[in-house]
Amino acid sequence: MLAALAAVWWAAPAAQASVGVGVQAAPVRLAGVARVGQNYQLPALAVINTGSRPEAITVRVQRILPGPGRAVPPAWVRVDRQGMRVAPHAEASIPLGLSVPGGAKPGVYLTELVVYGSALVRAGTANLGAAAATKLEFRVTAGPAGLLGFVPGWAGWAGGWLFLLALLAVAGTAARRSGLRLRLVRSTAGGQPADLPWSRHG
Amino acid sequence: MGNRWVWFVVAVLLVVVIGKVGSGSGGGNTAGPAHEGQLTIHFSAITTFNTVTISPSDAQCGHYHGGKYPNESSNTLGQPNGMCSVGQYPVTKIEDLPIKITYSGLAGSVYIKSGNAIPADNGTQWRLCGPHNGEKSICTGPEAKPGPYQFAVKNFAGSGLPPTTLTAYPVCDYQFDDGSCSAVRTQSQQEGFDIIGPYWQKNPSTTWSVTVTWIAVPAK
Repeated sequence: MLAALAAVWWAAPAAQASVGVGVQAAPVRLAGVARVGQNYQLPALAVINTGSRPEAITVRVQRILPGPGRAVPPAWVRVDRQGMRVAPHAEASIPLGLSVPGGAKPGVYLTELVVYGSALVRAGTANLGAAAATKLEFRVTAGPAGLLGFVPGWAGWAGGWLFLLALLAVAGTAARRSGLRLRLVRSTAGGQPADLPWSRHG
Repeated sequence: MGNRWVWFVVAVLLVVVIGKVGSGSGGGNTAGPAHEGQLTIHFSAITTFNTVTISPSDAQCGHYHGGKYPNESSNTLGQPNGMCSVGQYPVTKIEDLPIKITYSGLAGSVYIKSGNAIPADNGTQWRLCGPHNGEKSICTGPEAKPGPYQFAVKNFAGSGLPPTTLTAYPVCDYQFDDGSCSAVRTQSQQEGFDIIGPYWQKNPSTTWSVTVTWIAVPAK
């Protein structure tokens, strides 16, 4: 009798144990077009542990489904928290980055991001693992982001503002040289110009 | 005098250019704060997940049989090509299918793959093989069974479909939906699988493990 109870106690947790993972159904898409030689921050990947034990989540770039679009070399995608531990029934966000190398061909790129649970391997058993995939899509153009291919994106904005400031300076100089004058006149009730203190010439 | 006019024109043109840039002449962006008579409502929505959950998380291989004297066995994988099963095929009752696979989320598919067989002593692994896997993993034994240091995994369900040979890369789990791997919201299936051992192998390890993984895949 005791042996039977012990057997039930021993077997119960194993019978209820499950392993499960999930990933956002919506594809991961880069906002805008990727340019050759540039680095980008992709939207974070939402994952969930649907199993009954903590999971160490790993993300792999793996083309599973056929379809149009070039395959994405795994080295292009940076997964910042590989092996992140996620508690049972908890969600997490995994930051992703994209680095498009200089020799990348222009076009549409498509792959799957496959989220694997840790699949704790126990010796002498058939271990059952769970994984879930979502799509990663982006488009690469050949043109560099700025005047030069190696100029980072923020430099373009900074250059733009500097250009505007230079334009304003040139406009001011041009206005002075053209002899253009602004005369401010305040009329009094009688229609006569007011004698403004700053308009006196000594 | 003429020089002044030139500078005047330059000044006017520059002011026009600056005005265009400042006003966002690129256009097209109509988003902005709410106008009179309009109300902008911000709200949050849950993230929709595609998930797959397997229960239990591991299983013991049983029903050992096969091999030839003196390497036949009923409690370990014999040689050549001894077999064991998680569940039992042909399926006669639900207990013959001890693994429950549950898909949840938007309509998609369930794929399946297997890893290599790994010995407890971290010695030479058995490589997964199949009769039609293309690449480098064709079973090289007699009758297209696993050759030396090779093994095969076949999954089955109660649909009447013959067992399907697994590959090292994810493929459609045809057992999941009785001939297809389509999955709709909260669909589940009971499955089991057979393991067929190598034609021969010399690794002294008696404890091996293999991982079979089910994958929730979005619709094409």
